Amino acid sequence: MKKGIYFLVLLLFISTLVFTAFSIRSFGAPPNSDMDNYIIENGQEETGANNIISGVVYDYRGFDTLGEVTVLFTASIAFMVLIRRLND
Amino acid sequence: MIEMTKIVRTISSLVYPLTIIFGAFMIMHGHLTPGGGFQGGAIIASGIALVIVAYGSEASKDFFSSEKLAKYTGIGSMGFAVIGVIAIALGYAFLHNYLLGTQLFGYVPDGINQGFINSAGIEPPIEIMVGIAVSCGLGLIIYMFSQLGEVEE
Repeated sequence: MKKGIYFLVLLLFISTLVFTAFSIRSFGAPPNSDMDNYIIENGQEETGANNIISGVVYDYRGFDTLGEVTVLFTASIAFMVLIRRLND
Repeated sequence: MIEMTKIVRTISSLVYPLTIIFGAFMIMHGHLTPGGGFQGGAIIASGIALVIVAYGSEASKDFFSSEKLAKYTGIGSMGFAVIGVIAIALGYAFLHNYLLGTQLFGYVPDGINQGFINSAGIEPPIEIMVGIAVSCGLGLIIYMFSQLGEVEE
């Protein structure tokens, strides 16, 4: 009885995953591509960088990168303070 | 963490300068080739990890110090913010690319170019700052982990 319920739940889980995998949108076909097309067409001209990913990460989304660096800085400094306490 | 055999130490002392040079190359050419500040900084931090693993935590105290690594992490992340604030002082928005079309090591090209090393305005300085912050921050975490292993023995 219990095994049957477990089997049913497992079957439901697997069928959900398989259904999702087959009904997913095909690769490289996003629902909204206006922003992508704009960056691909004008990114090199506006930022002057040949690497368009770099142009997005460090120029269009520079504030986001500043936040990432702040997260890394905070993590490493907090880790150093914690381990120094343990060493003493 | 004890030091490894002489073979590992010799090979790692041959390899780690090349690792650090490759990371610096990836940081400097982040606006032209695949890579950038985060990736190059991670490569440099892997060079630091190689030295620490090969030579052990006791001998790596001669190479690195946690105060210096923490100081350069702060310098890198503060330099990024300072580059952004300079744009406000010049009258633009925060992190505006104010170096395009000006003179810095020659004319900085504004628009599509062949891939000069001084193109892309403020991107290369930002990438250098991010590279310093990431390499020293990850190196600091690896170094402090090795010191923690020493305490528990």
